[in-house]
Amino acid sequence: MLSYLRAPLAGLRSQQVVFDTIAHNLSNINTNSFRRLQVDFADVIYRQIQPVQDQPPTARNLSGGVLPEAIPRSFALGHFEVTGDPLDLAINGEGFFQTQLADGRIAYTRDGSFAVDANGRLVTAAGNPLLPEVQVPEDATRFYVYPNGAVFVQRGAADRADAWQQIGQLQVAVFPNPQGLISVGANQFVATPAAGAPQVGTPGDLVPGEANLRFGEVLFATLESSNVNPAVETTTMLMAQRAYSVSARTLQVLDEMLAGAANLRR
Amino acid sequence: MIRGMYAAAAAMLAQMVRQQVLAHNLANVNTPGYRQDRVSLRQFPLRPISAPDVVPDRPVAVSAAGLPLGQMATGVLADLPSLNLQQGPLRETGEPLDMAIVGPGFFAIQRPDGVFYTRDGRFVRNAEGFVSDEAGGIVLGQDLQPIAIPAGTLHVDAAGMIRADGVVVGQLGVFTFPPDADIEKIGINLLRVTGAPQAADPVLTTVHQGFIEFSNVDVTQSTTEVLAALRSYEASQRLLQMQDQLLERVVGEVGRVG
Repeated sequence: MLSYLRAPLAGLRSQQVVFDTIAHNLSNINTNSFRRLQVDFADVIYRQIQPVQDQPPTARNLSGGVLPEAIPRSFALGHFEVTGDPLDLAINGEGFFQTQLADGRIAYTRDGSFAVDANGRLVTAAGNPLLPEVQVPEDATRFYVYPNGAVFVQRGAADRADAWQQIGQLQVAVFPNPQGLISVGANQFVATPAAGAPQVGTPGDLVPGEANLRFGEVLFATLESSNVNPAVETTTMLMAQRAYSVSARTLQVLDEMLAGAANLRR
Repeated sequence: MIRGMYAAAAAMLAQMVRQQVLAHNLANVNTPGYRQDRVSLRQFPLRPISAPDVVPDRPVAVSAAGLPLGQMATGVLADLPSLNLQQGPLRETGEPLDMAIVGPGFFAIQRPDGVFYTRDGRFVRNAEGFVSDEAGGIVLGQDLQPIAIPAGTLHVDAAGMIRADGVVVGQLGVFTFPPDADIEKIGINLLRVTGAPQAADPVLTTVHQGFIEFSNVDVTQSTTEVLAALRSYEASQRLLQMQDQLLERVVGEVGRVG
């Protein structure tokens, strides 16, 4: 009997996932380089009802409903904001910075709000060192990163104007299918077989084997904003709300019908 | 009278089936490419009924072949749901591999268990570089082969031609079927079609990049039908109860002495 209620129930549950996702997106609207999530639905596998004797089956696809099929991320670029902080870097185009997690795994992030840790290494906001490592000399006074990822510093007091000296080279990793990456929080992703093997290269270079794809160039003193658009989220929420209430209404009606059947013998 | 009870019960069951199909449609109002199911009701086979053959010298006698009165239907059942293949509304997403079909036709998806068809055009480039759907099925081109695409910016024209930097790298396959083809839903937005696929007519059918086609469920009509099904269920239920009351009288009161 409860199978009657499955379809509207699935409708309610699925729309609930949309509300949760929108809440997540909107709460990250000011998170640097956050990539918005969206919920994609699919109808559920249909159940074959056994026909009665030689009658054609009365209903081939009863029950059913809907389920969230995937919650992909949109990897569309956010917009770039010049912050003026020399340790803020953004990738203008495809790719991720690589960092090393505490457990040794490599994580990928587009959030370039870097800092220098106690050991002089360039680290992410979460404190994980950037790969390949960039060691900033203690007496460095000025810091500059070229679009091709070359990191230069000037040492000593500004008025003495030492020569600029290269201390490192940033690299960018590009995945065949970034949708396959798994978020591990703090704006970081880890690779999965679905994402494919990353190609690592110098910003601005062509990705090997790809005719028209380049590793994204580095923007200096700039951060990328989230790609959450409040107008899109609000529209999605309105649609989810309508879908939710229509499923709630069908649930109510089916309940009324079942109550009617239960009260046949009064 | 018992026959009437069965007719009322059959009507209740049929309305319940209709309600379930409507609930399923309404649960999928936001499912891209979903095609609405339609329920039609069908009467049970008609059967002839006869009047009791009244003979003057006996109060009531019923002969085997009484006076034919006509035919009577004894109930109703919900028929197989059929698919409404009307165009659904397009929604812009801006995602480069979201495709919508306008006009008749389906995308072909190769899965380990066969080729299936769908109107749900949310595609991605998988780890091997092929166009695939979100469940991992491979999208087939016009030549029924997987389409390998380079990363980076792609342009897809109305005929489904995929270009990277002006160079054609493949063509999305859009297929139509003869009108008598049997189309069956198997879930996850896929349809199983028995029938020979033909390339869709490029005049009638166009592909739109950066859009998805939405579910074609008509919410207004479906909600109205939900109410209609509820009321006709209630009417049948009332009928069943009344017949039950009549039966109760027959059993309890007819022939009672004193």
